[in-house]
Amino acid sequence: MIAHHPPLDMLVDYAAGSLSEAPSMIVAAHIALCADCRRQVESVESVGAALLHEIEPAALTADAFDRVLARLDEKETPIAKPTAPEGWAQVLPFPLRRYVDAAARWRRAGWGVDEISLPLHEGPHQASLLRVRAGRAMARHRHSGLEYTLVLSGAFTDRGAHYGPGDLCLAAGPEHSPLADAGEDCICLAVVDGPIVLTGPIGRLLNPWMRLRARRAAAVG
Amino acid sequence: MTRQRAGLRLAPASRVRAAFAGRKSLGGAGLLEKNAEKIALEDRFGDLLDAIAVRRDRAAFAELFRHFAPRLKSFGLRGGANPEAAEEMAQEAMIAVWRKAATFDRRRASPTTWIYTIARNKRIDMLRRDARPPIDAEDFAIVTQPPPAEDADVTLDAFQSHERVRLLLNDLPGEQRLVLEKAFFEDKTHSDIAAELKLPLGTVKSRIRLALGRLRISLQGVES
Repeated sequence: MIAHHPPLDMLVDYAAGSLSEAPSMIVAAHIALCADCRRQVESVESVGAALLHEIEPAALTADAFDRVLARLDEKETPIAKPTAPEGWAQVLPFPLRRYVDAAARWRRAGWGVDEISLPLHEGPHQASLLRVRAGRAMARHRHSGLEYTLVLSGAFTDRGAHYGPGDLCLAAGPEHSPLADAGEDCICLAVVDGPIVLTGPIGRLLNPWMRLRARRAAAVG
Repeated sequence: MTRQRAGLRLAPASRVRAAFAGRKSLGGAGLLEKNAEKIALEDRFGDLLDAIAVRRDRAAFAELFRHFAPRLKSFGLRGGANPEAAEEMAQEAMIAVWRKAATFDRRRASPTTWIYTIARNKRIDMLRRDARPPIDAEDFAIVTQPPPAEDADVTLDAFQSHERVRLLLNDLPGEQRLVLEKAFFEDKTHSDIAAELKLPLGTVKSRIRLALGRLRISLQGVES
């Protein structure tokens, strides 16, 4: 049961098409998993449609329709479908699959945490998939910007709340140290818009933030 | 695929209309009667999309083009495109309407909403090429939650919701209408709008939330 959803302003910006790429990935992946938010986005889209209906029409060039007609029978350049994912990649919602190359390999980002960096085309964000080993904690850190973490499989606990598949954890500012549930690795889509600052025992500045160093969770045996 | 969809496709629009008219929650029969023409128009668009999907009907396409292409060009212009780019975007969107007509599903969206989403995606392509995860209906094939029940009530709600939004739009206070237009037409995020209007971000959020409330968009379960 998904309990943690994107805020309304994020869904509205997404439905209006103005949300930049990395947060759009978060929303797209969330609504692939959450029927309620998918319906919410669809109902907000109906506002766009209502506005479109009332917009003042603009005159087209005289031959606009003929030019479109001439193109109707063109062969559509097929968009290469991503190949069916195997293994862990099956947890990826469809909108994320094109971002993950078939040859992508997890790279160790530190104790218990692996990472695949995702290529972005725009915006100030960084996006990656993180895999936190069962029972491990992410390094204690705080944020200079906003961090969005969407759980794709497994689960983690952060500041008293529990996040399972489809749940979105939004973190800004205060330090935290998310702890993966025991029993299953936790795979997340993580997006940040500013450097992360480690504040734990390892305590050091991270820039870029991906140089994660997870520390062993003391709490889990 | 097309055959299967045709089977799922709703039921005669007239039946929906009849059931729809019996519902009180829209704001009374008077409002409906006054807007019967608009509602009939939306039915018509749905029928035209079906004709394109099933018969590749060019006359149906021409009728949709006459209505939508000039509005889509205007949509591109409001988004900041020059006239050539805006027209190109409108043409690309209409070609996509032709190609994707078989994926239109009345149960999920009204025709105008469906065309809006196509145009919005074309505008994203135009302004920020490739810079967005591509979303198609088929993207949701792997949802973990069961799909909504496919019964007449759900369909009716989708239909009702769209019409209600359109009918209520004109009663919005000016400041709420303004932020909605900036959001949907001008490619501006909440933050962009706040900066432009020199308003606190919270004010923009609450105006949009209030506007959606007035349009009776259900906001249940959505965090603020």
